[in-house]
Amino acid sequence: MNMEEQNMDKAIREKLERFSQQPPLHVWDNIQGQLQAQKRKHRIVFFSRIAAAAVVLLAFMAGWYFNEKSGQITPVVTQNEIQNTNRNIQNENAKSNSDSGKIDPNAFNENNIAGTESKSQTKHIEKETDHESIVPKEETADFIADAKIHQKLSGEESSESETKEVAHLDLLDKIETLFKTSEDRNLKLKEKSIPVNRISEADEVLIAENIRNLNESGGEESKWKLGLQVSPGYSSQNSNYSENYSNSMTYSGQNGNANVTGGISVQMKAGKKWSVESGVYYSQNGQRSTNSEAFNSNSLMYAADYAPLGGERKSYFNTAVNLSNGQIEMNSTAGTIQFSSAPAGTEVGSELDGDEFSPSPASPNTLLTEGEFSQVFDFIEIPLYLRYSLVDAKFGVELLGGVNAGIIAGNKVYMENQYGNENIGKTKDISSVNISGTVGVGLNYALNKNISLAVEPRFNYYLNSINQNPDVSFRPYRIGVYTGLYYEF
Amino acid sequence: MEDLKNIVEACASGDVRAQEKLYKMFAPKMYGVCLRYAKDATEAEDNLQDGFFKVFTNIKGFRHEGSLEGWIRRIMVNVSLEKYRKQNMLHPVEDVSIYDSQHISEDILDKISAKELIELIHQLPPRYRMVFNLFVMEGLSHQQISEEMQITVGTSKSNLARARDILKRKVTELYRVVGTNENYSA
Repeated sequence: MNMEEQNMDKAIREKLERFSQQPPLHVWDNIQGQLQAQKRKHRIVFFSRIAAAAVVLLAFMAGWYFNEKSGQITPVVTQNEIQNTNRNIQNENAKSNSDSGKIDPNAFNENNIAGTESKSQTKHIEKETDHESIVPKEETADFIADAKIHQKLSGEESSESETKEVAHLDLLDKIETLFKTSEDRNLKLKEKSIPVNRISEADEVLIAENIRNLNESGGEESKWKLGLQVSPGYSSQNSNYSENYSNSMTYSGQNGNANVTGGISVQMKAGKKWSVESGVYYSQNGQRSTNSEAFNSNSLMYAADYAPLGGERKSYFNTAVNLSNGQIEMNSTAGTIQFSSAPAGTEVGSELDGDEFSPSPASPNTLLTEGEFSQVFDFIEIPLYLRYSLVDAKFGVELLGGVNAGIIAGNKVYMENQYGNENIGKTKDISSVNISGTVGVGLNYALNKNISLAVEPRFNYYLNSINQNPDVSFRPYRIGVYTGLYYEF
Repeated sequence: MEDLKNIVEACASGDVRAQEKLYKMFAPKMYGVCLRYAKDATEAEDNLQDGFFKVFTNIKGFRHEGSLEGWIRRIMVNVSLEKYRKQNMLHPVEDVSIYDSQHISEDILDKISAKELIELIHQLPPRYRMVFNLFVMEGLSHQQISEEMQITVGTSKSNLARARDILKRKVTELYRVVGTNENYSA
């Protein structure tokens, strides 16, 4: 490389190295668009994985459902048969064309004419385009073959017997009545295009069956919807207690719980806008009872004395308990906890004498433990909802409301302390069936004709206290965003 | 510097404002880079867009070891190379091994503006433009260029010489026109 080249390179490099120019504004907009599209794509991939899992489950259920109805022939199969039959007709057509000696005018029947009618339009086009090779070769061949048959037919007419002639003329009359309004040219064409064949009785039965099936399936609107939903949610409660009960009660935890509910639903269309829904959902409502720093009951104030000293008092759970027949009972948020056994790491202390705050303690025994209690109820919910469709399109909006029968499937009390999370008993007086009300809004997005995605915020509130104890009114509620898939059929 | 690191981290977590900041910081310079490699402004815009999209989708992998500008610039060059490969791989230009070497006075090169120079570079056949850029601007050796562009070392050398020759002629022509036409403005 000579000096001149080096100098030139250097001069150019220095000039261009410093060069910068403001790019047009749309470049940044495009980059943003691209980045957002990619984000959406990632999200779609994520959701489509969930959707795929749900679809597999739905497909399984749908398979099971349709298996029950296996006796029926589905329209899909019969449609294929129609096509096959048509093909057979064409084949027969070709055969009979090649063997003109066997042509029998009696073979013309109503079915053939009907067939001709459907074909006439295409034949008409063929005629208009005349001999130009726009039409497929096969069809042209058919046409020529038909024409030949006609020639032969007309050629043989004079020599054939009168009955055959009559039959042929009869046929022409029929065609004439069918195409009265058509031009003469068209009429001639139709004469030429009559296929010479015969449909067997079996075929006729099959075609009639297919048409019936086709009409049935075409006119039927999907009436049923199968749904599969999960819902993260927030549950809490509305509670009231009698004074007596609350005097010896744990601190009522007002903090709600985050939990997950799920289930399947079935909807039936009851009208254009209305549908009825039922199904089975599983949900859980848990209530924590926490320690209270600000003691809110007399008994607790005494109980505080039992806690070890050294500033650890507040981490101790100390609530008045009843000891009867060797069983420990404790008043808590959702009702009285009945201990199945004395939990690990607990002590029961006794206060025999009253003092200035409470001369005679209502409940002299106090449970001392570190940790928290939670009263957990499992519900199997059978809903009966009405849905009203506000917007019925690809993106649909529905209102829903109704009642649930909440059947208690699980009633457990857990205590969480340094020994772990232990099932320590159950809550007394819980009624096995409870009624709750639900309102919600459904947002649907149709992925295709049968499957739609749905997001439904719902609010569910127990109309009765789930505890039968007259001293306790405990009504859980839950706010959840039900997300899932619907399958229409 | 610390500020830049924060911006990079914010970009990595998808912060749109940080992305815009980074873009505004480097876009003019990188547009200059893209303009050199492209045949026209439209192609340069496309490459700048694709390049920055790559920057933002790969910024998580940036380790702060080298300079950020160098890293972004390499992405721009790679995008331009990819585009070249897609467009020109199947249509190689004829090699012209015999060429007339022209002499060019340095004061002409001093007079010419960067913008004018880029205009002239746009007029080079794609492969000459690529070789010229990689050799002169990126400082790649003929061996490296031959690997990047999948051509022989000899082709790389002759392409470079040809590119220089064309540029020299065009610069001289331009200044001859400037000299005779007073209405011309760059």
